Amino acid sequence: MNYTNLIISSRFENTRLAALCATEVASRSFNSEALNEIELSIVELVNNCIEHAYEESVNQQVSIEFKLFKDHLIIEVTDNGKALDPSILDNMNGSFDFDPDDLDNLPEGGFGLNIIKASMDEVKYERLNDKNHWLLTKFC
Amino acid sequence: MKIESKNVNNTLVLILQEKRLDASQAVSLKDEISEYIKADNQNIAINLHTVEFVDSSSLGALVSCLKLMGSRGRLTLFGLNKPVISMFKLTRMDRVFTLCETEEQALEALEA
Repeated sequence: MNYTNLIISSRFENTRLAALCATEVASRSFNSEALNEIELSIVELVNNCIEHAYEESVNQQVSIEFKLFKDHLIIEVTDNGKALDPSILDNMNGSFDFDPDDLDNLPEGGFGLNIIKASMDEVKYERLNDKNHWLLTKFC
Repeated sequence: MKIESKNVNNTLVLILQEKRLDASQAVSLKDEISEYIKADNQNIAINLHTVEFVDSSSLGALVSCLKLMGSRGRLTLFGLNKPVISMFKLTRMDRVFTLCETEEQALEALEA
């Protein structure tokens, strides 16, 4: 198992560091399409931590652990921010339902968790010891 | 946000100069394109050929611009790289935006 740990402060520009680290760790085990999905998922998850858990408070800590196994990658993301209502994640099915012809009511946000669900093979969330703990799995 | 612009016939072509459109760029992306829309440019084609990554916040910014354009005129996107096209398809926004491969096709789509 190849293990990498990245700790970033809660600034949106730091999602680039998370993306860089994720694609570097995964580059030899995944094709370009899967790498794009991994990059998008980690960026969306860190965005979610910053925007919702930390409510855009800067200089909070987001820990990202990458565990690369022979046939899968596990990404564990931990923050100390506000808890997520788990039903929000449970109710997302990785699909995007809206009327493309109804311009005024097109969604401008709220895609993040659905994108992660659609892009990764497993997405788990737990609240443990006053921390948000995310576990994303992608099989090679 | 680096954006170059040029006028071709009756269309304003905006050439984004960024490699990544993420949450740190989303507000300026929305604000700057909105200014061009509010300046009464009725046909706008946005060149995304330098962009290799778009997250949901920047996608939302583009949706906001499309809604602002509304019935004032038309807005197309062209030069999308593969990961960017994948993002539009994943979120089904490829059915909302007019996506073209080249500037020529984007201009044709706007004039049609």
